[in-house]
Amino acid sequence: MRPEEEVRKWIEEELFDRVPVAISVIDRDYHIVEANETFERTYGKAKGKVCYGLYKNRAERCEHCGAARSFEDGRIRVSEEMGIEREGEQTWYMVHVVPLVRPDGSIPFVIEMSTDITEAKTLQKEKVAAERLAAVGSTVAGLAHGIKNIIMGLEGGMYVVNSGLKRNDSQRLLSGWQMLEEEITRISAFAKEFLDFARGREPQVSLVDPNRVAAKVVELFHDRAEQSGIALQADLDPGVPEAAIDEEGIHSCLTNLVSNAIDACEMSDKKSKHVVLSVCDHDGVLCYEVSDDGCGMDYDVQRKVFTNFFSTKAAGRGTGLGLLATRKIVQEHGGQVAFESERGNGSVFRLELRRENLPEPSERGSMDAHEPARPQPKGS
Amino acid sequence: MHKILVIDDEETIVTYLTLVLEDSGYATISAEGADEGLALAREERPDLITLDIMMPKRSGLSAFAEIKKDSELASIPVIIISGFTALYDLRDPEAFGSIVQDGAIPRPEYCMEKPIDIPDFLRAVKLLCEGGSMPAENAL
Repeated sequence: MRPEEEVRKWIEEELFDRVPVAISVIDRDYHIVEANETFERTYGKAKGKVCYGLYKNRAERCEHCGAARSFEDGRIRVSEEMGIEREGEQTWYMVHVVPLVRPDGSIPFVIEMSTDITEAKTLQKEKVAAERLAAVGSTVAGLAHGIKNIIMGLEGGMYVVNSGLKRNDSQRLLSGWQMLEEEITRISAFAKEFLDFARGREPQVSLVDPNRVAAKVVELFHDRAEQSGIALQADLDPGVPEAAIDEEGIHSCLTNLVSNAIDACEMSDKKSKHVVLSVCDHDGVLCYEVSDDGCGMDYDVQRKVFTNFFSTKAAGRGTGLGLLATRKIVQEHGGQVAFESERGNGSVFRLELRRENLPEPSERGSMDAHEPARPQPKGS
Repeated sequence: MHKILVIDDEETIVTYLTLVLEDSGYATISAEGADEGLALAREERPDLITLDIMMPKRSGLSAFAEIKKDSELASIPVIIISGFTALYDLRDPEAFGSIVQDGAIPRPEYCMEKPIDIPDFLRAVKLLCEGGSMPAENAL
């Protein structure tokens, strides 16, 4: 037999059963008409049974049934699904749903191909849990750091109240009480902000011109930068296409980065101070970058950068949860926060938003159609 | 009676420190910012200055550099009182060296992290006003 013939024979006669991917073919009544060996090894005897019964031990169809939608629109779908194996263990699968489309456009069957990703999924979950734990630990430390000014203010108020009482000085007493009221207001505002952060906010995603958000943030800080002798500028790119983002969320991220950059410049004693917020887009990644030539950070500081910048200084100056909240928002967009810094030279912070990971504008669902359009009938 | 200049942009902190000092027998003057503080220092020649770092418009660090370079002000002891973060910790000699770009500037006589310990603060003020200096370990 010629090599090509041997391969073709193997493909026709053996491939279906040999692939380590569970394959089933279901009809429009959701009955399994064909299944390969891997499928039956995983789920048991298949023919004639309903898919939702075997996969998920259900008595009725799944709510977000991808097969149902593919029967309608002929599109290929991919998703992650949870399944129950023969022995009852919980597993995770990457499922491809591929409709069989006849030349006349009718769709008699859908092929479901499931690849076991349980191990990868378990590792991913453990990683997320570990990160969350680490974040809690460093968040607590960061909180303590951030409220130093408030604590000193409270101690001050107490000193003044106590000494006012001791001296029978009602004016001092009143003054001390006012100090306490002010500081309590600040700490309440901070606590509320933190609770909002912990609770999370539903992102409102829409198509936005990325330059617009950047321009607004630069305008917001114009006065403050000028007062501090800092050259703040926006480096926009009109060629950058619209992106599906939560405008308010990204606005607060950029506000945080620019505020940190201005702080870094204010803290340095250099003569010339610059902060630049730029927008760019390449290789399918939308990028916001904030660079400063302020005091920069050394390695130890860089390690704790996501919790170091809580600040509760008087209103208008770096309030809020800083990079912790920024990172959360960016992660909700499927992106990441990157930075480089050199002590004495300055820092660059970058929000990297991969366009293919951006959320759908105001649309959610576990099974969304893949990009490839309905397969065209042969010959057209 | 010794005269102390308190520089901090937060009114609460200024009130706190000035009352603590006055209750301990010192005269006090205060300023909300670096420029105002420097002008006041030149005018009044205090015996000691307490200085915050994170202030809007002009960093306390920049004011500190100016004080130490000014022949008329350089001899006034300075206690830096600030919410040190890992971003900068002036108590650390290495950190000081890299944050303050000018190598000719000496370190402050004392550095304290907010919230400060008042007895510790008053001990330092007394010692420095009387012309003494803080033991080396205390700077860290």
